[in-house]
Formats: sequence, structure tokens, C-alpha cells
Amino acid sequence: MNLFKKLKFNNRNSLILIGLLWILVGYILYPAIKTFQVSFTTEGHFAIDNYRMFFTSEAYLTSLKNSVVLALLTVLVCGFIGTSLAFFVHYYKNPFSKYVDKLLLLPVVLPGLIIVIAFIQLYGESGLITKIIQSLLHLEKVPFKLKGLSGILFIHAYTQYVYFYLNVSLAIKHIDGYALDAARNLGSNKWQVFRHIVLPFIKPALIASSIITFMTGIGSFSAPSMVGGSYKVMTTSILLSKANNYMSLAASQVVILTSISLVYLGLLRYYEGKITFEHGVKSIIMKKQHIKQKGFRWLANIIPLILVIFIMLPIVTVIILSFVKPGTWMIEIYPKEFSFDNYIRIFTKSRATAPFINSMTMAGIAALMCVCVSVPASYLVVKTKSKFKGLVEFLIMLPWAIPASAIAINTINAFNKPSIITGNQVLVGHYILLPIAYAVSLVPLMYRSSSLSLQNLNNVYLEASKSLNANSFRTFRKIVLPFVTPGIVSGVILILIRCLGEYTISAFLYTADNRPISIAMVNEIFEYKIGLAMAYGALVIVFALIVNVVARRLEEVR
Amino acid sequence: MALLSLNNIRKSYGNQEVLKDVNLNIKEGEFHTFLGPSGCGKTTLLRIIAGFIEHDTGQIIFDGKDMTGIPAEKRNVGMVFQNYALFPFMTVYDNIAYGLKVQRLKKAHVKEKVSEYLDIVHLNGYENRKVSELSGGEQQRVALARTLVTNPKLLLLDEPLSNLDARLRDKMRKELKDIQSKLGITTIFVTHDQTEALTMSDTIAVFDKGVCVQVGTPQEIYSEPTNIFVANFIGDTNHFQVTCKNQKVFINEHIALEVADYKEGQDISIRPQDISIDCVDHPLNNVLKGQISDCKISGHFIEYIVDVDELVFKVIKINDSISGQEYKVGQPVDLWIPPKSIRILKRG
Repeated sequence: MNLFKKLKFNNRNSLILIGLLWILVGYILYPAIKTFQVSFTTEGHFAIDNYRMFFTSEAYLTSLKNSVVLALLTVLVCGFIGTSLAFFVHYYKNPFSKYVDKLLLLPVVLPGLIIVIAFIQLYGESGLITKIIQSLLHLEKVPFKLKGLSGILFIHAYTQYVYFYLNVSLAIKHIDGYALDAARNLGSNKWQVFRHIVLPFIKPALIASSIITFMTGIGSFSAPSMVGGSYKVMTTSILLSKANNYMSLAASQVVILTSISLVYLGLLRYYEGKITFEHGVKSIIMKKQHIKQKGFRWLANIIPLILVIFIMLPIVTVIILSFVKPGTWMIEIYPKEFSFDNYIRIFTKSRATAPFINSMTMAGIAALMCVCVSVPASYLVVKTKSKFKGLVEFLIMLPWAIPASAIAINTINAFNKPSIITGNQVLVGHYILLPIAYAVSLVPLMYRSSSLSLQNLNNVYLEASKSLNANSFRTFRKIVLPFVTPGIVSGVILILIRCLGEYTISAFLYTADNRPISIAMVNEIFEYKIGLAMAYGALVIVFALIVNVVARRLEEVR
Repeated sequence: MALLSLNNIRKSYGNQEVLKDVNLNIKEGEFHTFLGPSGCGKTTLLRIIAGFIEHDTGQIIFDGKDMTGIPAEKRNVGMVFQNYALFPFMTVYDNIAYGLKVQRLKKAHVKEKVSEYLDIVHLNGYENRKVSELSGGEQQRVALARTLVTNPKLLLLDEPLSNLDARLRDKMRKELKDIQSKLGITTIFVTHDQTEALTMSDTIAVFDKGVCVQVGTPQEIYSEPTNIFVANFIGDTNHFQVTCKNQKVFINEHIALEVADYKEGQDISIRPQDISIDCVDHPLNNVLKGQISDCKISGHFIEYIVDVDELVFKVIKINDSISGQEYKVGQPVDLWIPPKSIRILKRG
């Protein structure tokens, strides 16, 4: 008998469902609705003043336009870079593809803020690369400025091409090799094969990547706030409104930003639905294409290698600069004195240790929260026939479409007064608010990971175990856990990494009690304690790389 | 004159020789089959003809022209792939129209042609279906129509029936042959299935380890195999290593058989259905005393295994309502091997 059929809708499931809905509605839907309500409130009454103010102010409209332009350009630039790289590495024969592939995926595990800071150290006005080029070419002025739209785009290109690279690479691997042969056999030249066959094969991947890149682009905060300069975007503008205590204006900005995300998501999802197709069951793996022209072949091999150097550079920079002796690198182009002082400081001075411990603890709490919500939710959606599974899935995936700054504002609006959801507590100003917001923003990630694992767990295994006289507990321990654990662990690892370097939500919600690493890093930068900031960064990078290796191993075991 | 001539085609991957000096001529309108076990090089040769793989040495003359260096898209050779290779993101109509659109034909003409070929493959009304909504047999017909509609001079079929179930395979075998005869298109069919090869082909080329070991009509290949590989691969056979002496073949010290067509050789092949059991008026020569050791009924036929002096003979009889299963396991019998049925083969 099917083990899960029995559980179709019994008491235990009802209990899980009520608990889940309580949390999902209370911490995801209610805050969003609360923000919506606040945005239409002026001095306690319904009003559209905030929207009127927004749409009549040139500065706000510019920030809106800038955000959309930034997001669209990010999609274009990252689409071009990520897709070209995917082709160089996976479509054409490339002698280095195995190594290049792994290194090109590196930016996905690095927190955005650390990359922004590393970029400033490399390409900023007094950055290492900037200065090297200036002195080599004997220029009076710096050769380029990491500022404004181009500066942000430069950083986005580095941090976000990965989505395109990852998805398109996967799509290329699934192209039916015989379909390409068939097209040629029917008279298509190479360009026609590319346009009519290869492109439709990778189109769903392009759309999916463009959705996620647009979301991160429009929600981007660290790059615009640190190098944006006069190029103001919605996210920075929201923080400003919040800092000036214009919470209802901030709420209306959040509503507008979220709406744009949702509209883009809706449009592209609609298009995605139209172009998605089922792959043939008996597809033959495509053979990598050989580039005949020597020049082009050389270029296709060398470009990914150059990019790998470009990708490694910020990481190496952060690590080297973390050893710069405090107070020694002020006016020279290159640092000359190195020591372990920054690390000694982090691990001995309690003020310097606190952010590290805070971030670790909050990341742990957030990951735990995510597991507690995602595992029962994915179980409910994947393995039961509950009528509410559509609702649960919608609620748990909702934060995916909400920019981080919006999640922060929603959280403030929802929990600045005692409410039934929090057991009559005010959470704003409390230590726990930041980990809650981290968890809300990352719970879709965990949910995806755990539901994928559960989908792989075929009910036949459970039936087999039962038929061999194993009881429910033994079946859970010996069959269910081995299937689900790797997915949960890799989800937890990803959440830990993301929380550790999280900057946007932190900037909105941190208090003196829970100042995280990202805030500490930015403060040290502003106080010209570059080495100390870099030491924080290096610790995060090392942590991220170690857990990433562990995750890979787990994946292999799976 | 041959439409396609393959002269001394060779192909190696690293140290592994996949095709060794293949020479073949295929006449216009012929249904020709490349038959052989997996890994014998038949598909490689087909892909060389299509232009997907370059051969190392040799010459392909197609329609009077040397094909060396001519890209696949310019050969006017149509191919149906083993997995059909339908474009999953296109409808049935778009799949079939693809080759015509590439030729930039007028829309009305494309429509007319597609509808004509949908008719030929019996798929009218399927125009707007998605590929994923079709059964295996329907997908195969779309693949065939997509290839035929471009009017190729030569049709290449790479094991097109291997993904279908047994019943459908039978049906498609006939349909494929009918369409081929109707259109009169020269066809090369690749298969490892001897029944398919024998029932469909005008001529067959049998491949073994990259060598084309025999070319001939189905009857020639079956009844006059040139070596033991062909004899074993096509149909059942009783194969023995022998020594030839004094116009006789010696299977062992005690058993010597008279042969109608005597020549020097190392192996003999006797088809199981040529051997008689307990024939009342058989002559005195080539009679062996044995005992039935096993009996299997496979529908139309009964297969007896007969032990003769440590040798094992397979004998096949028709399972008709008159004789049925005449012999029981353990029963002693006389086997008569007609001298005409013994074929002496050379090694290699």
C-alpha cells in the first residue's frame, strides 16, 4: 500500500498545514500586504499622497527609470557574456573546458558586497589596476572611473553572468545531436542550424536566466550604493526614505519596485510557457563542434582563460589585502608591509570579533528557520494530495519575486507593533528580526532544494522497504533520509553563504546588537581600515569556498 | 550505372580501424541494406555518405560527382535518424516544412508539398500537433515525410524501426517498403535485424568488424554465405570445423559426410531445416544415429536438439497440425543430411 496515500489528509498533516500557513501568511504575505496598506496611508487615513509625491517628483521618477534601465542593461550585458562563455566552453571543443567551467561558476558562491569592495580596490579611483595602468601609460588623470551606471554594470557583469552561463550550459548539453545533423541534412548551413535549431533549444534557458538576472539587477543594492554616485536607483532611494523615517513613502516605493518585478516575471513566464517544449526521450548528446578557422579557434580558447584570470583577481586581491599592516598603506600605489595584525584583531578584540560571530549565528538561525519551513512544505507539496499545496507553493516562492530591500521594508511595517503573529512582541529593534528577514528572502532557495530531493524519492522505494517488513521509522531513517539529506545540506550551505555576506537587508535592519560582517566591512572601508575590511572578506570567502567544496562532495555522493 | 559508388573507403578513430577498404555499388531505385552487428561500422559508413563524418581515404561517387569535401547540406541526400531527431519545439507541420523553408520556397508551395507528404505517410490532420504528443510510429512517419518532402536523390535510414514495438515494426516495415517502391527512391537501410534485411531489401551488404564481407540479394546471402560469419549471422546454422579429404568432410574421426559441391575449406554450414529426421526413403549415405535431447516449440516451428556422438545438431520442422511434435526427448532418431545442404566455407 502506498505509504503516503495513508497520509492524504489525516490529523498530522492538518497540523503541519496549519503551522505552515501560519508562518507563510504571517511572515511572507502579511508583511507584503501591510506595506501595501502603509503605502496608501497618510496620517492614519487612506490617501494616495505617497504615490502622488512619487510620480510628481523628478528625482523619484529618475530613480525608477534608472532601476529599470540598470536591470535591462544587466540582462543584456550578462546575457551576452554568460551565453558566449557557455558556447565557448560547452558548444565548441575547448581543451581547458573542464577547469574553466568550474572556475567560471565561482562568483555564484561569493557574496556580492565583497566583490563590490574588491572591485573598488582594483578598479576604483585609487584602485590597484587603475593606478598600474595610469603609471604604465604615464597618464595625468585616472584612465577610467568605477562610477555611475557603467561602474554598476561592470560589477553586475562580473557577479551575474553566472545565471546565464549556468542555464545556457545546461541547455547546450541537452541539445539533441541528431537534430543538428537532421537540420544540416535538410539543407541548412551553419548559421541556419544555429538560428533555427540551436537557438530554440536554448531559448527557455535564456528566458529563465533573464528573469533571475532582471530580479537581481532591479533589486541590486550594494553596487549602486557604493559606486553608483549620482546614478540613484530605487533600492538606494528606499533606504534614504527609511533613514529619514518616511516609512509610508518607502512603502509606496517598495510597492512600485515589487510590481515591476512581478510584471516582468509574469510577462516572461507567459512567454516561457509558450516556447517550452519536451525533450525527446532518446536524445543523443551533441558532439562538441570543432572550429575550423584557426584564428577564431584560438580566440574561443583564450577568451574564457582571460576571463578566469579576471574572475580570480578580486578574490586574490581580497586575500592579499587582508594581510596589509594596519595604517601602512595610505599614499603608495602598492601596499608594502604585510602582517597577521588584522586577523589577530578580529579574533582577539571583542568589538572586531562580534560581527563575525553575529553573522555566523544569524546565518545559522536563518538556515534552521528555512529548513523548518521548507522541509514540511515540500513534503506537503510533493508527497501529498492536499488541496492547499498550490497555495503553500505560491506563498513560499513569493519572496523570490520580491527584491531584498522590499523584504526589509515589509518586515519593518509588519513587526513594528505587537501582533498576533509574533505572540504580541515588537520585533523591530530586536536581534531576531534580521535572521527572520534573511530566512524570508532565502526560503525559496531551500524549498527548491528540498522539493527536488523529495521528487527524486520514488514511492516505490518506500513500498519496497515496507514490503521487506521495515517499520515506518526504519523506512524514514534508511530510505527517506539518505535521499533527502544531501538536498537539505546543500540548501543549508547555500543559505549560510548567502547570509554571511548579505548586505541589503542588513543595511535596513541591523541594530547595535547584531551588526553583521557586511556592515562592519563597509564601516571599516569608510574609516580607511582597508586591511581589516579585507580580512573579514577573506574569512567569508574562505568559508564560502570550504562549504562549497563540501557541497560538491555531497553532490557527488548523491 | 551505379548511383552511388564507394571506392576503398577507410576510416579510423585513433588506432581503431572502423572501416577497412569498403567497396560498394548501389544502383538507382534499389533498396539496399547495410546489415551487421553493433559496432561493425555500418552507421559510420552511412554518416560518411550523408557527409557528417569525413572518411580518411577512398572516394564516394554520387550521381557522377565526387562527394569528398562537399558539406552535408549540399549533398541532396536525405536521412532518417534512429531517434527520428524531430525538432521538439516545432509542430508536425513546421518539422516537415523545415527543409522546404530552408530552400526559400513560396509559402503556398510549401503548404501544398507538406500536405501531399502528410497524405503519403497517412498523417493528415496532424499538422498542428506537437512532436511530444505523437506516438513512436507517428514520430517516425513525420521524420520520413520531413526527409522525403525535400525530394532527395538518396534516402538513408539509420535503424529507423529499432525504437518501435514488434507489431508496429512489422507494419512500418511494409509501409516503408511501399512508400519506397511508390516513389522509386534509392534507399540505404541500416539494420542489425536479419529479418528486416531479408524481407525489405533488393540487395544486402553484410558487415563484420569494418569489412564488407558479402554483397548480394537476400536469397544469395541466405543460401550461399561466403563465410561462417555470414552463415551464423543470417538465419540459424549448424556450424562445424572440418577437415576435407577424398571428396568428403570429416567432422571428427567417426563422422564423414559426402558433399555435393566439394571444395577445400575449414568449416561447414548446414541449415537446420535441411536436415531430415527418420526419413523413410533416405539413401544410405550421410545418415547419423542420434538422440533427441531437447525440444522447443516456437509457434510455426519446432526446434529439436539432437545429440550425435558428442556433437549437437539443431533441426527445425514445421509445427503443422498433421505431424505436430512427433519426437519426444530421449527418443533415438536417424538424421539424414542431404549432400546438397552442406556448404563448405573458407575461414576469414
